[in-house]
Amino acid sequence: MNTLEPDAGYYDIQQKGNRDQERHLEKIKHVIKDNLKELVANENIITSDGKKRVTVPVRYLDEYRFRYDPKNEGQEGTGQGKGGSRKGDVIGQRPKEGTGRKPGDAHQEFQYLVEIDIETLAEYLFEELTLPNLDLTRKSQVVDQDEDFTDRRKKGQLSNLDKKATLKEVIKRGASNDSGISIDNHDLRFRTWRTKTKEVSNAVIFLLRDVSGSMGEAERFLTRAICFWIVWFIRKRYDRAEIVFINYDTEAFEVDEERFFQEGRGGGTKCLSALQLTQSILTERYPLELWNVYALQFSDGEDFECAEAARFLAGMIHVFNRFGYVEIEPNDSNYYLLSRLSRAYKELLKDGNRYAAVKLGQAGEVWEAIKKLMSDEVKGIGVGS
Amino acid sequence: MAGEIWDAAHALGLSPHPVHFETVPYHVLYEVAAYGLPNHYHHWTFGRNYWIQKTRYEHGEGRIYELVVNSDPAYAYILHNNNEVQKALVMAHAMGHSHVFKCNEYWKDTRKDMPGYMAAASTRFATYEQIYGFAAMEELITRGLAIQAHSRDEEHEPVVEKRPVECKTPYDELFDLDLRLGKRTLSESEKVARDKKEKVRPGSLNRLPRPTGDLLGYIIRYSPQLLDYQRDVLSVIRQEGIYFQPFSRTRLLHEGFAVWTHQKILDMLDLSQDERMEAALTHAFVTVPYPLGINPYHFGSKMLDMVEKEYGCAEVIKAASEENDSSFIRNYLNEQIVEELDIYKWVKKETASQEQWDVAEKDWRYVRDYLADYYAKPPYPGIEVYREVPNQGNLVLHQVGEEDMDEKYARETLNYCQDLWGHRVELQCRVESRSKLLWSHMTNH
Repeated sequence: MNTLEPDAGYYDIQQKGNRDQERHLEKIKHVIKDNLKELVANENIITSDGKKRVTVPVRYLDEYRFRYDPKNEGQEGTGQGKGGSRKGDVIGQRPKEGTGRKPGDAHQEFQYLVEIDIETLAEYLFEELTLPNLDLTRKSQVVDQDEDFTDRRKKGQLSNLDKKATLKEVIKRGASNDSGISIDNHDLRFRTWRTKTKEVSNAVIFLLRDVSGSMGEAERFLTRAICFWIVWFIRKRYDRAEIVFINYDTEAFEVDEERFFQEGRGGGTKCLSALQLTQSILTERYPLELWNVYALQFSDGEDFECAEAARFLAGMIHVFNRFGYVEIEPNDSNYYLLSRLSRAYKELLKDGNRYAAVKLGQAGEVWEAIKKLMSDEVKGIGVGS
Repeated sequence: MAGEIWDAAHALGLSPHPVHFETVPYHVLYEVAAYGLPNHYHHWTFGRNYWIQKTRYEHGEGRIYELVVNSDPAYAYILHNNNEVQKALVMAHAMGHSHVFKCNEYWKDTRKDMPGYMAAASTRFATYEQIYGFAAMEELITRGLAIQAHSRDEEHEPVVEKRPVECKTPYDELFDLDLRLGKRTLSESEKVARDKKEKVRPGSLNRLPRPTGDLLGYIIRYSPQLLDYQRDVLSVIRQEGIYFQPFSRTRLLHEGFAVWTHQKILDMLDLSQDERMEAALTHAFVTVPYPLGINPYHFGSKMLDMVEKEYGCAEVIKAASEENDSSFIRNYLNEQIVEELDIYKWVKKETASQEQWDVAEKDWRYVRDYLADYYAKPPYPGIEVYREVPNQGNLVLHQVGEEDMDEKYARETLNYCQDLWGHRVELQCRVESRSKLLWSHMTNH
């Protein structure tokens, strides 16, 4: 018998676990990839502002084998009390929940909480998406924030002296001979900064939200989920993307992001006002030769001036790379009905593929909706589907 | 310290394999625990277990103090940041495990060269991986592990089964003596009765004179399509399955005896008052009773304490050498222990809004029989290779036992079996309280 003191270095060479652990994590990523649809509407993600890593639940990766039916497990067993237990004593109780671990079958309900950065998740997702009417030629010149350290000047800090360039000047002057070189002050060359300009492709996204109707928590959530991914996706494709938030009832207002999602009012609805505001902001701030324009409109489809709105939109539809109309209808009984607005907008389908529409009832449909809104081939609500 | 403990173990009457101790950093201990053996071959399921256990440790849960590998000499891994008293306790504990490995009926015939065997196998597997590719090896190991529990060491057993004679009277055996000595042959009606009883199957192949639980071994031996390297990989998985088989049957006894041993040995060592307090704390930490389960450390050691009180030390060591968990309960659990340890059977009651756990039985005989049955139940449903269908090559499996199986898992496992066997594999089993025939790559749902 003998005893060894641990030598971490020795054991590190022996490590098997890391490789198999990596392989396991790789398999988890596949599971995440296979379950993207469910993750799209994950609250952790869409309220994360896209900055941090998020934690998503992933089911325990089990290996297949012959096993007993787990339904029969955890129904009875033996245990140990603190002394003097009697038949009929209550050992424990708790309210029933959909998820969570039970004392008897912890393994069964086991879920990992896997941390993943949204960037990676978005990459998986966007493999399936195309950006309709993608136009990267609408560019503007901007002054790059990174300046280049490539220019040479005659004056500068000695620490920035470019010896090679200085020697070249000496040689040009013919001041080198067998006995050595003599460097004159005029020969000195210093490295210095040069500002660069470059071209960036631009996109502006208009988000129009009907705040009149009964837009409750669920509707807000669906709106948020769709906005989150589409904005992210457009940002990925263009160097610079700006978002304009517009809320409307009978009048339209440009608002900030927080108000955009939170605001709710009563009263009637005229989306024409939002379309008009979009047009005037475009004219004022986003010249079409420099900007790609995307818009998403969220509404329950009840509108006072449907025909006028549709006519107005038809008149300006060519400015949009994509105008997406999202009708949110969590009420089952209305789900299959065509709203007045969607019927009026249907005309837009005849005009190329600038317009796309989806109807959305629940979180499970978010991903299909995004795909429809962002595909080259467009369909209207209830048309051919 | 190690020498003192070794001597104390012998003074106590133990006869363990010599133990080689290594103090290691926690990631090494958790790695060996996840794989079951050092120098193990690769598979992602071990990586998963390693990751979960290590994460639990890093969050302050589920601390493992030691791990003892069954071999001669035994290898014991000890967490290096255990303090000196904990180390003494853990070393004494390891002596208990080592004794069970060496002397217990269910362990003594397991292979004692497993660490070396496994290290050599891992080296071969690495070579196979280079030749046949990572994916091929992973798929193969996945399939082997899926039926690893269905490995049996039946090679040394006789091919022709000797069934016990069913005796209606104490003298039945004598009446049949002529037949068994070959002086009489069976009449036709007796043959029919025998065939029915012994399930002799017309058309079964000679190589399967009777059902076998060694599904993995059967596939290795008779699959018409396995390549040599695949047979090698599967054989290693089978050997490992056989090597670990006794664990599920002797867990209570193993842990109980190891705890009992460390208590006895620590009492024999020359420790200060503070050190004794420290040891008692560590001991208390691992022997907490569970309200909805049995803590084998606590329950097992308490039972052995009572065996010692009643019959003496030698009886404890005899039990550790001869019993499995089920027989240990049946032979030693008595009214006094059930009362003192407050063991009960519970049932879960569910209403629409809540779950509740109630004490259902306290009668000591009921609790004893319930526990003995519980420990006798194999951790996996029993599966037998029943027959091969002639001219087709289909393999027919039967479930042994009455408990429901998980249908989805069974189907996927049958698909794995077909991948190895090359033909359809069928399973007659119980699903949702009914008998059901499943087969590989079934399409209906």
